[in-house]
Amino acid sequence: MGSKQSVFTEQEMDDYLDLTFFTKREIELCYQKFKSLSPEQVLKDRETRLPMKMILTMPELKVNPFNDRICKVFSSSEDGDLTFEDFLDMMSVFSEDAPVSVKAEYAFKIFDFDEDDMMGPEDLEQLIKRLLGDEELHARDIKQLVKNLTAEADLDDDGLLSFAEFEHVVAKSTDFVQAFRMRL
Amino acid sequence: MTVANESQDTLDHDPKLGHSTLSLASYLLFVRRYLVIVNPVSGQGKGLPTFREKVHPILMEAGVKVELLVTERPGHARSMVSSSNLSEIDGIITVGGDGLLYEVVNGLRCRDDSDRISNIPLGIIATGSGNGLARSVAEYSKEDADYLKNPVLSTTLAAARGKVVPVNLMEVELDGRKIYSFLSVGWGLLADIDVESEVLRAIGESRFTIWSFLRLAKLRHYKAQLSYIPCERVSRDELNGTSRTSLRERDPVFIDGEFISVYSTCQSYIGSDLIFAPKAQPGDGLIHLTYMTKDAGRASATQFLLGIDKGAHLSVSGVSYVTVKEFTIRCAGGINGTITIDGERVTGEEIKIKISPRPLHVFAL
Repeated sequence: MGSKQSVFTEQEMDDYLDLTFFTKREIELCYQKFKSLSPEQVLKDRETRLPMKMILTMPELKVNPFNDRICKVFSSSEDGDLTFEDFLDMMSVFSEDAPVSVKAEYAFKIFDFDEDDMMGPEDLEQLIKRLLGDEELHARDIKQLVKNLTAEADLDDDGLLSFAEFEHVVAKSTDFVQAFRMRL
Repeated sequence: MTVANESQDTLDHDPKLGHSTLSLASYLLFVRRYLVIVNPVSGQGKGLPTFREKVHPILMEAGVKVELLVTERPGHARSMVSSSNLSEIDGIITVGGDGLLYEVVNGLRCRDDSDRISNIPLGIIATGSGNGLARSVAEYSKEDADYLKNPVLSTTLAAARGKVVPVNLMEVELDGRKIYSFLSVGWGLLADIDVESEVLRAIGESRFTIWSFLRLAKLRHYKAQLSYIPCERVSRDELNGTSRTSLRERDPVFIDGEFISVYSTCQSYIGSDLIFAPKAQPGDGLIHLTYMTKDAGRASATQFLLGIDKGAHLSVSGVSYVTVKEFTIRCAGGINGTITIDGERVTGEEIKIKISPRPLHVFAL
């Protein structure tokens, strides 16, 4: 037997091709990456769920200030633990081929810290603090920044940013796409 | 569209008269001819009707004969101005935004007869689509309030009246090419944002979007050498009781480092309502230079962005601010990151920016 057999059935592969922005090869690469986090566990049960702590050891996620939010958003169990399919979903949205609108959709979910489907002042404050990391910004500067961010994006004047308002403002930023990208 | 006809200069002016006196004399005795260049797309597409209804009648009443050019594409104004016979033109007025004037200035300054022609007064009818220079000029003449109430009327009256003020112009040498800039030259963070906010500029809004703070997640820095000649205006009391200002240079400064941002301007406003250098004076011969190295960090970069809205950006810690006569950015193998000249993106290995010895002359109230 010389040919390399895929770990997935043809049906599974077709489904993955439909549901992600990946090619067959990229899907296989994703699997290898997922498996490398805990080879024994994944080989034993392909549908196993890897704990968030393990996912966060990945170099791409390790230094990302929103790594826990990213895991939570893609976690089908909503606790940050990921199955391979959750993981594949995540890598697909962060891939080069995912359109800006899809990235924006997930970015919004990631930045919606209190998960109320809107980006309010508390969400924005969290966002700023996470971005600054160790560096400190005076509380009044943070409040001012939150005000400015809201003012610039809030079109219906309700003091909250809906997904549409958020997308409108980040779609212009080429750097946004750079920040929401992980290479395989 | 018509342009000035081939003919000899028939106006018999005494060449020793200063230009502003000439303007006044023209107003009373001679017909002035202005070349008016209209960007039909400016002012939300109302550039031409605005000119016909609100500008032309006032100019006519003031005794100005108008040669009208309606631009058909970007670059049109520049090519017309660089090649037309301008010997009978007393002023060139642009109806549109800073971009249109940028074309005119660069078209004028690349001419061979440059010396005389580059003193042709320029006017901007501010239709609101990104008018940093018009706003600066209004501020210099303390006409800010009237300008804001009705920018079209205010700038039209200035052009009609014919009084001019000298206005700083930067001469940019980029790998041997000469480009002229009357607003800003930037590199790094603000240049990136500048390029992206094109959409906002086109509708006359603030230049820098605060949402660009998202890029602070991956704050980029670029290696290069920044060098500059610090310079300031000092005033001296003369024996006869008057006081004069002159420029005092200091020793050149060289900084080899990794920069987050280098941004310079030679006017006070770089956008319709974005004041970058509040201390700038008309034609003062100074470039206001700001820069941040990577040591400044994200907090400083955030405060800088925040501060620009309030004019407080110059006093953020980590941000260096100095007035200079000239500055240079060089990096062997090419300068990485975006460089913008009046918002237009360029690339190169070495860029040198200095104040042009021949300022612009702009109509002002």
